[in-house]
Amino acid sequence: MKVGELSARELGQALRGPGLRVATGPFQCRFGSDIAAVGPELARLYAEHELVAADDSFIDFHVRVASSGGLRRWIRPQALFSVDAVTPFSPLPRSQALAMLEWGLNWCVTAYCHHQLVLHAACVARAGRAMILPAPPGSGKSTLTAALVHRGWRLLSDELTLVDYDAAHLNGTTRPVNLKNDSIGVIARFAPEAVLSRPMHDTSKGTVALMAPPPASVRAAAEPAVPAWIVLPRWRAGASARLTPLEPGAAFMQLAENAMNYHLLGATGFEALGRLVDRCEAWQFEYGELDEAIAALDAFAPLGPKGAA
Amino acid sequence: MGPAVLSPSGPWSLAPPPAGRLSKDVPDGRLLFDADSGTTRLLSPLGVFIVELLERQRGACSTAEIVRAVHLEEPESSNHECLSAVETALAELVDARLIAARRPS
Repeated sequence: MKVGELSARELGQALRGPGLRVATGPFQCRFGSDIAAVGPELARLYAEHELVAADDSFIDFHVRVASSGGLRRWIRPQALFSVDAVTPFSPLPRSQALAMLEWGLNWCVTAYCHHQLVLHAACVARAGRAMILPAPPGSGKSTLTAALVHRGWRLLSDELTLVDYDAAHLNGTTRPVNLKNDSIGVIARFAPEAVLSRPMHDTSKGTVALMAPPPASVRAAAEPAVPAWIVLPRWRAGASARLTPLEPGAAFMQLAENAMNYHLLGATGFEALGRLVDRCEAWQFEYGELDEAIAALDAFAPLGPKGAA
Repeated sequence: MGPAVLSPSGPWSLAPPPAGRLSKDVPDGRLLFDADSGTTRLLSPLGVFIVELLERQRGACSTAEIVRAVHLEEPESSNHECLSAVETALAELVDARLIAARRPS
């Protein structure tokens, strides 16, 4: 059964009570919240995700975003994120509860998942071959990812790419894409079919909206992809799409800078990253316009006759 | 007795590798990982050339000898260009604790 098949009442009861148990790629998460506005938004963003049966297997993350107590229930109300009853962050305005839940879940993966190399990178795939897009904030990574997954590429992840130590496969969590500021309108116009949350204003990242992963990406979430390309995107107003080869050593250093647990893993991380670089072609990519950018990246992996991602 | 004064012109020799150092050769140089410090570096191709030169020599080389060896590989470059590049690479290698200047005996 999928999240989207629950009635609003069932969803609300689950969130307030035993939790909404959702499969997100290799992880099983239990969401909880007593904030009424969170439920309908989660239902839209995770509509295609499978529910995990209550008596089924292990839950990786028990995450909750709840109203703060005391005066903050009514005056400038706040929301507090917790995982397994631990509250790692300061509260945020309650209007940002949904974003907090997603950011908190990213933190969980980063903090606890050291059985894989965790890259701060988006990842998309086509025909089973994956493109890793590591980039700092402001580089246009999420905008490009959101656009690609509405033009035939499969979303593995917008934020965290999970690399097996042997670097033979990449896994994604196929969770919502985090769009910021002008990117929200850009994607709303570029892909009118995209399912977007309401905008959340005045967050630490500016105005934020979450985009639901396309249904085809969610259906394929359990399928790993083979690493094939590393592309470092950089958006520049008015720039023509331009790919510049990046040497493997330079690519390694860029990935190491963008790896969340590289230093923790020590020699294992070095070797895993080395294998990943061996398996991929690496490029720097400047772009200014989405259609042109997608045409340039499509050339890596033309769609087959069935158009399968 | 004060600290040893090392000659900036060498002679240079390979430093003993620290325990737990890993390396990986790539087309644009050599990746090095020091487990002790957790530091990762990308050694330039010229840095790799100098390390391999010192390995072959099994002894020390002065800066001038290294410049001559580089110039043989890059005959179109001027001596000045070679010296400048070698000095940069030597600084990189010292910083990576791959080489050390040996006091003349």
